[in-house]
Amino acid sequence: MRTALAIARKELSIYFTTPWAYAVFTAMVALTAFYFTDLLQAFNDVQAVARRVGWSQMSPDFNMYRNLTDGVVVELWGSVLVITLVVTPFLSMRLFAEEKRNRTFELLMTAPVRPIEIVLGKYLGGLGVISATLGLTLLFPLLLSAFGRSESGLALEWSTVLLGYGALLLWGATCMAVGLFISALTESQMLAAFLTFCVLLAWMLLGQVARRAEEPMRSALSYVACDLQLQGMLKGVLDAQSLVFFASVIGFSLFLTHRTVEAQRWA
Amino acid sequence: MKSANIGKVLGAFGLLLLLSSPFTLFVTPDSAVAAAVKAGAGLVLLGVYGATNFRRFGQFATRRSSAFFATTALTTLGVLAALVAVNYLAFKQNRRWDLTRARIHTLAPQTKATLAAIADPVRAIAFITPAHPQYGQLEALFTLYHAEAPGKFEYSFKDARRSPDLASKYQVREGQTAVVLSRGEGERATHTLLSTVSEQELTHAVLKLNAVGTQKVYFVTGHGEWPLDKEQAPPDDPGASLSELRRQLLQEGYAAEPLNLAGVADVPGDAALVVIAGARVPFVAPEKAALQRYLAAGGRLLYFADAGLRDGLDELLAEYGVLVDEGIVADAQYNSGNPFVVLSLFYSDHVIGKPLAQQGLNVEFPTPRSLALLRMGMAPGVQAQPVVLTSQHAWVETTPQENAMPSDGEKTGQLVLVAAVTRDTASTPGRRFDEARVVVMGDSELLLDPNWGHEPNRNLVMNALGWASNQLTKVTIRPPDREVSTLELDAATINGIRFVSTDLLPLTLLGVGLAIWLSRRNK
Repeated sequence: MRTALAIARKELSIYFTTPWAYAVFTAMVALTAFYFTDLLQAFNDVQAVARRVGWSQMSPDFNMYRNLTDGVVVELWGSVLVITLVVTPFLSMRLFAEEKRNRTFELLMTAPVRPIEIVLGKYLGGLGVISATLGLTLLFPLLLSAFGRSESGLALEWSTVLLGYGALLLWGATCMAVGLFISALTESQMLAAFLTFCVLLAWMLLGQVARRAEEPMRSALSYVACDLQLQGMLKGVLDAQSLVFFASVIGFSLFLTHRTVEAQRWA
Repeated sequence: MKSANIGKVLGAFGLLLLLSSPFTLFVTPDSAVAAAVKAGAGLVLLGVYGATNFRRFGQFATRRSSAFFATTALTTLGVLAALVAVNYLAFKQNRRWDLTRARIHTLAPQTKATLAAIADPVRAIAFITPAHPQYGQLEALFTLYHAEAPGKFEYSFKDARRSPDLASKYQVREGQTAVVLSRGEGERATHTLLSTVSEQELTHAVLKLNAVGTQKVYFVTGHGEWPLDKEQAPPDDPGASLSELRRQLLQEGYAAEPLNLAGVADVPGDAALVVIAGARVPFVAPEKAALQRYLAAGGRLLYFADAGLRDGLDELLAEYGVLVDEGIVADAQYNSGNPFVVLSLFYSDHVIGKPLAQQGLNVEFPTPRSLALLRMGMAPGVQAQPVVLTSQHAWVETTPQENAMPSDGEKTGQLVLVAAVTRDTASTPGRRFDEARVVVMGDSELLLDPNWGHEPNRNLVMNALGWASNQLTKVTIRPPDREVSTLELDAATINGIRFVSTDLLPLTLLGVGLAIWLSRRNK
């Protein structure tokens, strides 16, 4: 484990000293900020109308705007989920592909390091950087809590906000695991990023396919659709099945990555 | 070109076909066959790649590596199977925790009780397109209902265009969003149609569907009682009607109808409940006798008194152990700014008040009258219990126009505001029920339209109605509302937030990246 942590530290130091990571951070923050201000403006406008005419006169479609957590944060996390899908491939693509392109992978394989330690180290490094990327988005709920008010004193329901953030981290960790596996398959970083994006996008669209399917296919597809699994957590409901599902995907991806790395010894 | 190279191109194309086959389902939902053909063609092309590059595989799979790859394939299948099993268990035995402050994603006790009481399975069919904004909300609601009552509550989603037979059966128009709840099979099947998707509406629909026929609640008229329709409210007090209560009764499967006892020998046989709300003109003897016979045969009555009203039913109520005190109740401490608008959080352990006590809800009574529970002189088999009481700081003000202070001779202490009475009528010939039930409330104004929005009062009344009409499944709390959080930002603040988040912050991060790039370049 010590070796894995050393590899993770090395990975993190590489990430945080390359401009590429900062370009990704910037893209993440800029895109999230765009959605945030849009949602904030809409929330402010609806609240202004509700103050004038009363909530009883408002359409039920505006109910989510009664509460700052539901009206802004839950919606924002939903958008960040999609942005993560775009951003993660650019963070995961280099993990193995870069080593292969630079011919340092062979060196790594001949070092006294077990493949499992390499995989875990690289994954933990990737996990660190995706956590940092997603951590930047916490600024927006903090801004909201500074300006919002509620009867109980707290503008935001922090249990819901943090659970939603947990869902983002879980999704980020899953995307990173998938990206790590795909990066281990190729030496082309762009190809790794593209394939990771395609796989994650297809996975996210599965929810829409599920909604159009008939039972029992609908239930099966709904279970494996990542966006449907995360919906509850974003709204403040923790489902044990979601944790099991994403842990399974992460575990399986790491297992496949390990076998792929191990296969290099036999090729 | 070599066959191996052609195989590679075909293999890549096959992989593309295979991976994109789910998209075909997404783009054109009716073309499952097309998606299957694409996936099949993809597999064939991948097979061609395998066949044409067999030698390459052969080189790759040397004797030592063959064993490795075979082990890997088997281990992968084993791990996959184990994970599928674990996930199947997690799906079947799912645990969920609602971490929101007001538990807004948890079913209300009323819904849980309703689902527990379902005798025949209920099927919900939602005619709604996946793109509809309320689709997700409805799906989440159905999931909760199904998880609460698996096997009793099933659901499906249909598109009216793709299921014209079903749409026509339930008279759902194309493009209309509706939920059909049905129960039973064949000719005995009954259904109800909903156009909204809230938990409240859905639970009411389940209740309605499970009610054996529609129960009738008769509102006695002819003595200046509060009218059922808005149109009948006095012009100077347009809110003085029970139209909101009537609407709620209809939602819960009751039919609310007026009943004038003048010239009527008996209360109609289909009466599930009789309500007397705010009568101000005395009942005549034949009317009293009709009510007396009705209760003696196991009838159900909800009686609402009010300040200053006299209806001549004292004798009848006394027979059931309740005496309505003269004067108005006042409370020095538990009031909403006016001692005659009494607040109460004091409940007995009676089933009507229990859910309110559990939730810590305060009921509010504007100018109520108090009740005295008699120990002697009532009909045989009668048991009267308090349901809601005042605080110890209350008194009966007999001269409210003169002062609002307890005076000598005025009743003081904890007073009864709501009482529930039962009478054993099991041995009565021609009885309606084995037990007569009467709920007496010292205030009728809480039923009026402007006050119906006060949730604790509404719950108290509906719980009393549920208990009296023996609909125990309705004795619970209605779904809670969300807490309203407010945000009031002027244009300058919004612009400030926009500047910080969309401009300053990304630029700072970009600046850090640029600095790192420049410093590395200069090394």
